[in-house]
Amino acid sequence: MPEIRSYTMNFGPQHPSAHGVLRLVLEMEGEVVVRADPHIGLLHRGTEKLAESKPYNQSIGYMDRLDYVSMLSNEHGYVRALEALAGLAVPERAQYIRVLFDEITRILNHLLWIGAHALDIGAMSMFLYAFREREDLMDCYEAVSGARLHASYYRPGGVYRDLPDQMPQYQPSRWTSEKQAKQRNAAREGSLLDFIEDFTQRFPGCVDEYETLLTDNRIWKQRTVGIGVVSPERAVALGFSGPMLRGSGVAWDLRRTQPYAAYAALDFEIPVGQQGDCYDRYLVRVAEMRESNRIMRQCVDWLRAHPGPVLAQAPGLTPPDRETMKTDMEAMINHFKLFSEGYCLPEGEVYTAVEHPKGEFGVYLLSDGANKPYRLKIRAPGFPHLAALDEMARGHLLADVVAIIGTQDIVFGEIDR
Amino acid sequence: MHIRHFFKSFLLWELFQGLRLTGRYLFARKITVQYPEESTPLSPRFRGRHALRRYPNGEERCIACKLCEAVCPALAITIESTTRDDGTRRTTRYDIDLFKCIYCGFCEEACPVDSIVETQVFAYDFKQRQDAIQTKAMLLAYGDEHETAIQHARTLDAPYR
Amino acid sequence: MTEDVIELSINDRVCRARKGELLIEVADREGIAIPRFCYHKKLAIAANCRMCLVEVEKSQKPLPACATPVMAGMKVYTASPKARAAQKATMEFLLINHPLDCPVCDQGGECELQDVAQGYGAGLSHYREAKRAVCNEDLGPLIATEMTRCIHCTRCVRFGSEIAGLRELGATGRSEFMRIGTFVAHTLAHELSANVIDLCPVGALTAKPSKDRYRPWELRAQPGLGLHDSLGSHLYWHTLGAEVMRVVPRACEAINEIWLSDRDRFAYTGLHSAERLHHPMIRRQGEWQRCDWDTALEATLEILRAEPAQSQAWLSPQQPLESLYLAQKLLRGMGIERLEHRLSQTDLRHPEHEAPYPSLGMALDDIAGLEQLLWLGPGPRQDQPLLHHRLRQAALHHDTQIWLLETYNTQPLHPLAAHHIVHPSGLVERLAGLTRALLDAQGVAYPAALAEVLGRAVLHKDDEAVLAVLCLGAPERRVALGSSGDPSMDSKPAEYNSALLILLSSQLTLHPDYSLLRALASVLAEHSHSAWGEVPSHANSAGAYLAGAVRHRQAGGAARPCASETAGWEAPAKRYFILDVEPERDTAYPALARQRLREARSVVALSAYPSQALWDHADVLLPIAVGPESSGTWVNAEGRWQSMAGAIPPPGEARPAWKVLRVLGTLAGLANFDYHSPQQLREELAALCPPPGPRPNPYLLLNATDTPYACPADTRRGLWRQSYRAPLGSDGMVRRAAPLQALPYGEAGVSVARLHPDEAKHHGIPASQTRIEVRQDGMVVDLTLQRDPGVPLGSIVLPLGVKATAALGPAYGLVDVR
Repeated sequence: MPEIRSYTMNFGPQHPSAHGVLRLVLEMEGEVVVRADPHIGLLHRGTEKLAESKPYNQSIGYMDRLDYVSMLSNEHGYVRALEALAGLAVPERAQYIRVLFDEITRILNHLLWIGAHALDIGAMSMFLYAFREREDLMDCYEAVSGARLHASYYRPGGVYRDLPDQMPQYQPSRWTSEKQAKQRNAAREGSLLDFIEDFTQRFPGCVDEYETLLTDNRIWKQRTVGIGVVSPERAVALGFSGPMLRGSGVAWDLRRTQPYAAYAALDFEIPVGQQGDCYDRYLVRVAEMRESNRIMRQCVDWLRAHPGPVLAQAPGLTPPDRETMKTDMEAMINHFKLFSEGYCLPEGEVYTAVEHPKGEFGVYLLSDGANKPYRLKIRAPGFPHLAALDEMARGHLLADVVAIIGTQDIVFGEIDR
Repeated sequence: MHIRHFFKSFLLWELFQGLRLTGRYLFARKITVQYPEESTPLSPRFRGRHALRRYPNGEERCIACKLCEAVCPALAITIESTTRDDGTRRTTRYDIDLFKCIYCGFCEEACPVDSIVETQVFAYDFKQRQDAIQTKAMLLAYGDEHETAIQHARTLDAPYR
Repeated sequence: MTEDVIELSINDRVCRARKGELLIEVADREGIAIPRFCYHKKLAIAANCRMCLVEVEKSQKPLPACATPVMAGMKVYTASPKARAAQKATMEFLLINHPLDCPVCDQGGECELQDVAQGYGAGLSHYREAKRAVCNEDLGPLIATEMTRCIHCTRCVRFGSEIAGLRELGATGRSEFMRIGTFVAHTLAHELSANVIDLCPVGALTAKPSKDRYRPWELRAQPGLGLHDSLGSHLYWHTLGAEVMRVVPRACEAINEIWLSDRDRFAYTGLHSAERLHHPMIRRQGEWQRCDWDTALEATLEILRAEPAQSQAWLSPQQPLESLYLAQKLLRGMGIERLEHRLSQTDLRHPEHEAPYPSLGMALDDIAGLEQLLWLGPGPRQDQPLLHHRLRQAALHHDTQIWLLETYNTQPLHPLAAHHIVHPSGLVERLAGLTRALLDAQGVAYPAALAEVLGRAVLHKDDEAVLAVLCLGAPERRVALGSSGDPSMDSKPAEYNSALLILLSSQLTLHPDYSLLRALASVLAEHSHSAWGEVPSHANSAGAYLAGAVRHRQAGGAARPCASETAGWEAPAKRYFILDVEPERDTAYPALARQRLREARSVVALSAYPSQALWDHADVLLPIAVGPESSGTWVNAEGRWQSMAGAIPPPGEARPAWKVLRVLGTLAGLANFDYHSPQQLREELAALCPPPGPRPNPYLLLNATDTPYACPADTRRGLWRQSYRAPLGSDGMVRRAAPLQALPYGEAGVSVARLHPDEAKHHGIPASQTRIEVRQDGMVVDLTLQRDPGVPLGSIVLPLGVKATAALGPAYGLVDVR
C-alpha cells in the first residue's frame, strides 16, 4: 500500500484561480491541506508612500487602482476622509449620485465575483453572462466620467460633473442594420438616468438567470456548502467585514450602522446568512445585488426630481466651473492655486470607512497641515480575509482552497496596494 | 415535498433548468459587437489619446502655464517654455509620455485655455517604443486631425463643466 | 518688565512688545498671520494697500497693523468677523482691476496676491465691468514689466528712494489712473535696481532673462555665494535640471541683508555662453585640435617640467581657496616660484609691509557703528554696490561722517562730510600731507622708510577738517574683539571695532604708488587709533593671499624666503601656466600680457572662457568649471570663510579646477596630492592659517632698516591716464552675461574715455567731437569721448577689462589724445 506523504507546493502566483498574484504555499497531506501560507506583495505599488508626495487630489487616481473592480467605492472612502478633515459639506444631489454609483459599483463587483468564482469552480458560462451586465454598467461609468474602469469621478465636495442628459448610441454598420441599431439603442434614447432605470428593470431578471444556473445546482452546492465555515464569533475576531461577516450571521453593515452619504434616507434590506459557509456567502451576495438594484431605483427617482449642484462651492477646496474661471479674477486665482499647489488640510487625523462591496474599506488620513498627507493608511477589506485563509482552508481539499479564495472575493490591488 | 424533491433530484431537474437557459441563449441573437469594424458608443467625456488644440485662426492655444504638468499625477508631461519672437509665452517642448499617463483627465481639467484635451481615440499603436513619447508637433498634428470631433465633444460636455 | 516693554493681547493671546513697535512687527514675531502687500520690514511704512487691517477694541474702524504702534492693554483681533470682512473687501478691491494673467504670469506659484487671495479673499468677484489696462515701459534688459498687474503697493518706489538712493520709479496720476513708472522713459540703471523683482508682490516687475522659462515649483534652490565682488553675498541658485534658471538673494543680515547687486543676480546668464570651453584642446602644428584629458594633462606636465626657473604662473583671484591652494602646491612642487594672482596690481613693491591679506578691517555690519570713515580712492558704488549700500545706511541713519577722497567722481548716493576729487598723484600728496600733519601734531618721529616722502609733504587746506577729526582718535576708542573660533568655520572675524576707519578702495590697487598709499594709510591709522582696511578687488583676493598664491607668501600666510629675487608677473618668461585668467582683460598691462604670451615658448591655460590671446598663443587649453558648477570656499572682505557646494554639473568635459590640479599633482609624482573632497583641502589649509584675530597693522612692521619708499614721480607733465576695473568686466562669467552687458554701464556703455571738458578744450578737441583717439606707449585706440566734470584736470579715465582698451598699455600712464 503506497504511503501518503505530505509535501509543500506552490499555488500561484501564476495561476488562473489565484485571483491576481497570490503565491499560496500549501502544505498538503495527499489532497488535504494541512497549512496554507499566503505570500503577498507581488502587486505592491507603494500607493501609500506615493500619496505622501502628491497633493491630495492627485491620489484619487490611486484609489481607483486599489480594488480595481470596485473603483468608485475606493474613491468614496478616500474622498470622505478628505471631507472629514476639511469639514466640507457635500450637496445632497452629489450624495445621491455617490450612492447611485456606489451601488452600481457593488453590482459591478459582485458580477465579476460571481463570474470569476463560478469560473474557478468550473461553470464557465456564468462568467460571460455576468460580464454582459457589466458592460452596461461600465457604459454608465463611461458616460459620467469618461472611463469605463478607473473613473476619477469623485472629488472632495461632491463629484466632478453632473449626470449627462444624453447617452451615446450605437451606430448602424455592416453587421448591424438600422433596425438592430435601434434595438440596441432602445435604452439609450434618453438621459443616463433613463438608461439606469431601464437597467434596474431588467436586472432582477438577470439575477434570476444567474440563480437558475447556480443556486439549486447540485454541483454548485456540493462545491460550496459546508466549505470554509466560519463561526460568527470567529468572523468578528478575525476582522471580517462585508459579505464575509454577514454570511456568518453577524448583521453588520456600515450603510445601516454608520450611515453616510444618502443611505439613511433609503429603503433597503441587509441579507444575512446562517451557516457561514461558501454557499451562504454566495446567497448573501446575490441578494445584495437585488438590494443594490432597489437602491439604484430609488436614487434614480430622487435624482430626477431634484436638480442642483453636484460640487460644493468652497473656494480654496473646490475649483470653480470653467466659464467662471475664465471671466472672474478670484476664480482664476483659485483655479491656478488648486491645480498647482492644491489645498492644505488642517492638522489632524481621521478614519472614515465605507461599505465597500468586499467589506469595510477604511482610509486613515493623518495631516500635518501641508498640501499632501503626512500618512495615508488604507484599510483594505480583503486583507484580513486573506489572512484568515489558513484557518478557513485547514482540513479542506485542494479544490476547496479555490472555492475559499473565490468566496473571499480577493483582489490583489487592495491587498498589496 | 419529499417525493417532489426525490424526483427532482433523480431527474437532474435543476441541471435541466440551467441547460434550458443556456440553450435559449445558444439560439438567441448575440450581443457581440464586431470590433474593430464596429465599436461600442463613446460618450463625449471619453478620455482617450491626447491632442493639443488651436484657436480658429490657427494660433496654438497652449500658453505654457504648466498647470497640466503640475497636476499630472503620473508626471507624464514635460514642458520647456520661452518667450517667442512675437513676445508671447509658448512652449519649446511639450512631451507626454503615454507609458506614464494614466488617462485621468486632470490635465484637461487644469488647462485654462482648453489646449490639452483627450480625444475619443483609444486604439493606437507604436512601431517603436520611443513613439510613445508624444512631442508637441505630434500632439498638434493630432489635434488638427481630430479638431471637428474634439469640438463636437466639448460642445456637448460644456454645460457640465 | 522694564519701562519699555508693554503688554497687549492679539487674538486673546498676551504678547510683549517694546513701546513704539508696530502691531505688524509684534504679530510677525509671535507667528500670528496678518496679510499685507505694501509693508516690508526694510522699507518705510506706506499703509496704502489696507490689507493688514485688524480689529482693535475701542476703535470704530479697523486699523492698519503696519501703521499702528502698540499701546499697553490693546486688544487686537486679526481673525474676527470685522477683520475678516475688511480683508475680504480689500482683496476684492485689489482684484477688481487685476488682469486674469495667472497662467502667463511668471509670478504664478509664488505670488503674494494669489496666496493672500486664497487665504483671505472672498472667493468670487462681484465685478462685471471692464478692467483698466496700462501700457508697459521698457525698464531695461533686466526687469520685465507688465504694469497692468501692478497693485500700486509702491514698494518699488520706496526701494528706489530709501535703499538705492536713486528714485527711478515713481507714481503718477491718481486713483484709477495711477501708474508706476519712470517719468521720463529710461532704463533702470542703479546697480541694485533688480531687487524690485523680489519686492514686487505681483508679476508686474519680473526678471527678464528668465521670463516665461520656469514655474517656481519645479526649481531647486541651492545655497550659493555671489562671486563677483568681495562681499560674498548669500544667494540661492534656482536650478532646473542642469541649468541655473535664476538667482535670488538669501537672507544674511551680516553681509547682504536681503539684497543682491544686479551683477550677482544676473551673472549666471554667462554660464552657457558660446565662448565656453567644453573640451581639452591641444595645438598641433599650429592647428587647434580637440583631445582627451589624458593627452592634455600629459602635455601640461611636459610644459610644467621644462625650465621651472623660467616659468611664470598667472592665477585668478576669482578662484576658490581649494584651487589656489592646490595650484601653488603644484607649482612650487614643480619648482616654479614665480606665481602671482595680483595681475591688475601694478605696484608690488614693499611686500614686507603688506597685511596678511586685504580686508575691510571690520565686519560689514559694524560699519554702521562708525563715527568717522575716511575713504581713499574711488567710491564703491559701481563695483561693490552692497558695500556702497552699507556706507549709505551708515551715513543716513547712523550719523557716520564719510570723508571721500577720490580720483574721479563715482557719484555716491549718500551725504558726505567732504568730497574731494583729486588727480591720482594728488591723492598721494594729500595723504602724505595729512600723515605728516598728524605725526607733527602728535610729536612723533617719521618712520625711516617714509622719511623722504613725508619730508616733502604738505598738508592741503581742504584736509584740515579731517585732520582735526583724526587727531581726536584715542586708544580707548579702539577695542580688539575676541576671536570667534576656527577660521575654517563661517564665523565673524575678529578685528578692531573703532570709531574711525580708514579704507583704501579696491580700484586703488591699480595705482602705481599703491604700496606707498598703503604705508601712509597704516601710519595714519596707527596714530589716530583707527581701524584701517583695504577693500579686496576680487571675490577671493583675500583668500588668494591665505592660500599662498603670491610669490612671497606660503600657504597660510608665512613669508617665503626667496621673495626678493623673484620678478613680477609682467617680467618675461619662457613658459606660462595660466589659471582662469583672460590676459587682455584681467591684467593691468593688457598689451604687454599679450606680448609676453606671444614671446613665450609654451603656454598652458586652465580656462572656462579662453580669450583671444589664449587662442592665439596658448598650446594647451584645459576646460574648467566656473561659478556654481563646482564647490569652493571664498574669503570675503571681512575675512570670513564662506563655502558653497556645486549646484549644476559643468558642461562637456569641463572639470572643477581643483580636480584638474589634483590630478596634475598626482601625475607629476608629487606627494600628498590624493584629496577626496574639497572639504579635505579646506581643512588642510585652515590648519595652516593663523587663528583669527586682529590683523597686525603693517605700520608696526616698518623698521629702520627697510628700503625707503621712493617718492612718487611727477605725473602732471602730460595727460595722465587712470583706470578702473569696469564693474561689468570683473570676470569671465559677467563679461558674457548678455543682459548685464546691455545695461547702460555694460561693455558698450562703459567703453568711453572720460575727460574734463576744460581738459578736452586744452587738448584742442572741438566741442562737437564725440570720439577721441588715445595713444599710449605706441598703441592707439579709438573711443567715444565723454565730457565729465567729475574727472580731475590732467587725467583721463579709461576702463580696464573691456575689449576696447585691451590693446592699450598699463593702467596708469601718460597718454596722448586727439
